[in-house]
Amino acid sequence: MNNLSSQNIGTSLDFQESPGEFEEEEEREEDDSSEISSLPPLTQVATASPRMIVSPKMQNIHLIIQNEDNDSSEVNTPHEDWHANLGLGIQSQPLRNERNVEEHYRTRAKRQTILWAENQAEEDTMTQERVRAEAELQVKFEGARAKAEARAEAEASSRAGLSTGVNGANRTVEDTKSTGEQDEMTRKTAERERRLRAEKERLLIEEDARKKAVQVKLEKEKEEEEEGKAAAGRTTAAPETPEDQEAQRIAVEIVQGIYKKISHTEYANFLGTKENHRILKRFIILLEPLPNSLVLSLYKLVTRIYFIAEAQAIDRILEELSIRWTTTNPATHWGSHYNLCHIVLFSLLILNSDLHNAENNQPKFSKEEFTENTLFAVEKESSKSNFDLAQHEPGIREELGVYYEALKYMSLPLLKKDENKTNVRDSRDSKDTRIRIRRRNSKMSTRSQLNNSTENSSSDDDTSVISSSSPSARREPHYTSNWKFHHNKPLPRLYRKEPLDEVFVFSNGTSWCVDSGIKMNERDLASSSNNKSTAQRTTRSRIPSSAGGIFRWITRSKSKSLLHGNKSPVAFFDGNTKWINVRCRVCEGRIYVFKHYPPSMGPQNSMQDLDGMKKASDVYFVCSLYESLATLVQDNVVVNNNHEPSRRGDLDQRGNFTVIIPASLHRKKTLLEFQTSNVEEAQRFVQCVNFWAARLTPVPTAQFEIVSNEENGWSPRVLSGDLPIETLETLYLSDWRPLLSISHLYSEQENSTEETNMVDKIEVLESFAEYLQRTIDSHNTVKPLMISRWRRTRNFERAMDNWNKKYLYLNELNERTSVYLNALQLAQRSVKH
Amino acid sequence: MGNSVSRALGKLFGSREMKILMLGLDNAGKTTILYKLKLNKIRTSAPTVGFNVETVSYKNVKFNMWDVGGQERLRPLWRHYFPATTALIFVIDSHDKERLQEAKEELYAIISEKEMENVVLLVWANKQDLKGSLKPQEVSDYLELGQNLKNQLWCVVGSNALTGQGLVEGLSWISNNTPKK
Repeated sequence: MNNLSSQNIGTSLDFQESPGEFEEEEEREEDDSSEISSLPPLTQVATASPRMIVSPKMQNIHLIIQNEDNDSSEVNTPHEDWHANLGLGIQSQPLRNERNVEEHYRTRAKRQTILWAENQAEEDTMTQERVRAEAELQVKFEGARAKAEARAEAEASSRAGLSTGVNGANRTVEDTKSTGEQDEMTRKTAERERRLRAEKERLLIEEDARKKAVQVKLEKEKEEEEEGKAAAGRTTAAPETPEDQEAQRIAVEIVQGIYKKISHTEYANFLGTKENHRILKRFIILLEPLPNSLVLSLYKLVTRIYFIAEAQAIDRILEELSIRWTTTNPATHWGSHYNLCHIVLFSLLILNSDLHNAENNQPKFSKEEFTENTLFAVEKESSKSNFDLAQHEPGIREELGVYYEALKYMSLPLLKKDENKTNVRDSRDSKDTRIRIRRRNSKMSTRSQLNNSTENSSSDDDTSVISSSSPSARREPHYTSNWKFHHNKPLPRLYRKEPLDEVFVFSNGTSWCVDSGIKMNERDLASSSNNKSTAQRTTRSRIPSSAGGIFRWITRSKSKSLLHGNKSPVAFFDGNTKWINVRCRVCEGRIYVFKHYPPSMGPQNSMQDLDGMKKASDVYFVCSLYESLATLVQDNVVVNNNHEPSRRGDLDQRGNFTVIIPASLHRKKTLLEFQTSNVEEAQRFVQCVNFWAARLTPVPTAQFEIVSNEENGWSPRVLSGDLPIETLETLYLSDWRPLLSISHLYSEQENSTEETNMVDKIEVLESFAEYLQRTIDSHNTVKPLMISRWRRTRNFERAMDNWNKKYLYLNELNERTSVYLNALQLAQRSVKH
Repeated sequence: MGNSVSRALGKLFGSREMKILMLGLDNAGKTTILYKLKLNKIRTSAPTVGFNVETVSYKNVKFNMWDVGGQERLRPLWRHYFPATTALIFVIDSHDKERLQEAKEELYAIISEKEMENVVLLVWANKQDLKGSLKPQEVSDYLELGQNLKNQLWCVVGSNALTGQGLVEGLSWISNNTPKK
């Protein structure tokens, strides 16, 4: 009902199976009794009774069918294996004593009313036309095993073995066993699909009932304990220690979904830890009775707990489940070999992920693959545990096949929180939101658990989860800033806040902040904004479409893109460069550029509200300075004063600087060129940009610590000269490439953090700079050796190519590191003065 | 030079789909890593009961990561995935020295499967942020990969799943060292 995917699966008629393969026992449809149709199905509320014992010999099948249309009663396609193996719920009605039966019906009647009321809202909207029918079928396990017979025979025999359980107390079940034998394929598939859905719904409903039942069960239990009968029906009823009681209490709360110490999405991980084994045991017992079908036991489990967890946790939970399952279902061909059932359960869960996880874009398991794979694992294990696989293999194969079908058409439902809270009804929207959020939470680190940080599933935005893993700063991609700024979204703090920041953060002219009217190469401004997501207009949005003035402006500037893509600062040399007035502010890890009218040169009020500037500006962009590098052109280029006769008086004094915004996944490296009225101002900008870039950018040490047997051409064994030349010829040389770091992956979309404080950062940079120096030195020393080793081999080119690539990379990194280091040291010194 | 990274990116990845299995003892940090890598995605698909399965996409290359674990008897179940696996990632808690031996045994149990012969092995020496954690070199020495692995190409990368340090490095190492189509 709540599970949309099951609905979709359910309504799809696109089944390709042969009809005989998936047919079930006959069932009865109630299509004419409105009274019955309005009643909730008889769920397995009988499970409420803690005293219920599942008889090994009399395993009864309890099957509920729900139909959407009324004419399906004639569909009647018996299939024993489905029934026997899937065992759609088991009850042991005959063994229940009078008192329990009575009580069972009493509580059930009560519960039905509640259930009905609860479900009515949804039922009304979604399944108004559905007719609920219920059939309680009793099948002898042995009888069900006889599959080899012809279908007609099978039908007859199974029917003989069936007796319809009629719930006289609540309803009369009309035996509508149809005698129609040759149903068309479509009818059968439709029928099967309905049945799958019916089963699913039954499970969901049962789940609700279960939640309540637990409460009742508990109360009853208490009573019984007082009566001194506690031990009677339970296998684990040893004398209760306080710890056991505590474990029991937690287990019950988890089943009810009300255990508050952890988010309900973490229940499974919680139960799966070794320390909580005691709780896990009790939790599984609370699931009893377990259906005699493993796949349905799995259903039962996942409808009681949010079941996304780490593999180890899943492992432990399923192991416990299989132990209890073999204890309570001792008459299956698995006998007491819980370890084998454990494998099957685990395999089923893998199958479920394989078939239904949208992330998994690999070819899916086929039925044969699944069966073979599971059998392979079972076989390995069975040899250790004295299990006669050969004898049971046909049965197991068949069982696995049926499980596969069941999972293929009906993924295991993910428990939603609402199903735990009986009184809360949310709109579809809020449910969806919560699912999304929960998903994120479910990804939360194990470390946050260790920190005892309780996750709050009511977190209302994306960042809340992120921030819980990163307490202080967060980094955002370069142009995300732009987008956020344009859409008036708050810009997150990019850096780790330190005491000095309080003092200087808006202090114009320091390393912390520069805000001034300067000139910018028009082409750069255009290209910076020339991005689908970043093409910005004024927020006043006089023109609703983005194809307004800015767009024309960009196109115009594109015409002069002769030098576009050239990465060296050329605007400075280029007499045709069109410098436009902008207001540029570098502050808090970002660079803001406003094309500003009217132009005003020189330092500006750095306290001025950004929104105001935005409004006053025609074109603007914002960019995070992560990994950026600013350079003062005058540092590299000495201009001959007489080279060009000054047209204006200030020409010789003007300063130029460039800011390189590094490449990211979907964006090329960007070069921004600026011109200031004097060199000092340019220097201030350079210092400020590099200061912030240094603070935002983590030191990329990870890839230098890599240990690998990869051969790039300079491994010790090659350089030692011990390898004969033939070996060198045939040796596989990997191409050396700098490894990407996380920034390249995230710079476009997501946040990350740099948490080192300034002082530590200086230290880290210092040692990294030293390290780089050493690395470059040693890289230089291997060059002659490499030449002598590889010279006569066909790998020579490749090896030297690798050498060159690494050399260039190291140099670039070295440059950036020293620039960052200087910027931070300069800022530190400036503060001391 | 300079935009080597963007060029590298373009060259690095042809159009490939890679299946990557991620293994490791509990508490090694697999989930955190998956979570961290997950951030790259804007849309999160509806969750599925059971295992964490994540796809990390670089352009048209999809890294498919399964969180895999469990006892020995469950290992044969993953066998089906081995032939299709391009790389195996093994995550080690480099701070938990007491369980290193256990981790080592686990690693060799998997990697010695016949189906894993041609797989590329990446070891993430995770939790580098914790004081006293083993450096990648130390982890590599402990695992004795050089002595024991003859067929597989392997690599140990220090990582910090919280900041993401080392993660992409590792993945791009895998990408660098797997055949292009």
